[in-house]
Amino acid sequence: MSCSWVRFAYRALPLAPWRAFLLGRHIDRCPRCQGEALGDAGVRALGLTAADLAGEPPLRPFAAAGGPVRAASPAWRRAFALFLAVAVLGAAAWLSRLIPRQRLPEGTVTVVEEAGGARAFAVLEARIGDAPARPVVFKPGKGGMTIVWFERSAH
Amino acid sequence: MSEEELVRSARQGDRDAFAGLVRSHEKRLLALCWNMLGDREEARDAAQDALLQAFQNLERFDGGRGFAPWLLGIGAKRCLDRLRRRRTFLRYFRGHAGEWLGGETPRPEAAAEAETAGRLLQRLPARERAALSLTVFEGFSAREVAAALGCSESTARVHVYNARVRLKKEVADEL
Repeated sequence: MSCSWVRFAYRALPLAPWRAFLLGRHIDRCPRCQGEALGDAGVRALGLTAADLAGEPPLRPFAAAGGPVRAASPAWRRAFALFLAVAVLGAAAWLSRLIPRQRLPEGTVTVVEEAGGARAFAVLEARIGDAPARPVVFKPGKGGMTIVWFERSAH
Repeated sequence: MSEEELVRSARQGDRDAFAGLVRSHEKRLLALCWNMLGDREEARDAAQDALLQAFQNLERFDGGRGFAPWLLGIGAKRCLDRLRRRRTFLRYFRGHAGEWLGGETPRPEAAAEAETAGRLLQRLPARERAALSLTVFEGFSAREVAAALGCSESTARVHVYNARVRLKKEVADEL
């Protein structure tokens, strides 16, 4: 294939990979086309090589990740941090003993009537400690479940 | 330590191993970025980015091609990204320079070109510049250039050829 034909095809062919393939095959073999291109020595004279950068300071691989790599923290700092953590935990444990714990009161429920298995019942009396308790009934959905709990009655 | 051992340690998060791995290739990486971007500071930034990206993606390094081609490929891509952003910025800058600077339109690209080494290289289109730099300065094969730039081998070869032809004309014009 002549150079002019290849160049015409390169411009005329619509798909870039085809054009590149055609021209690539041609320029590898065509001395005339290669003569129009600048050789390696010429290109090297226009740019930099690694040898030209001998005096450049080294790169810092992790500079973009938040500055230079930090040295490990000294032992006294780690010991102080440990002491501080133990002191905070101790103080929290001591404070927790000062706060009185709320215990749930014991209660009794007397069910007086049960009919149809567990489907119906009546609560005659409920007490929390010595005080009467008030029932609260909650039906969360249409599934038939009923939740009953007892609260201290307000006197 | 061999390169494989350094890669293995670096994969486990050993920064010193990665630094050792990088030490032997960093000048090549910097030269590639400098040739592509034409500016020392930007080249150093791009090279730093490439190193960080390489460290974060060490799991993807298959070891088949060797560490240097893989690293330089990342460097070339980072430079192409920067050149793309630079083009966008320059287009915007030129559009607004008149109103910002009272009618005087500066030519930042030309000013940058004048200061930098490889002035003629900077006149090449970005992908041609990348393909040529990798081929001539780094000794990449067409296949390696294609892998680095994400194109076919033929396209990589044509990029290199077109860049050489352009450069020859530029050199002739300069003389």
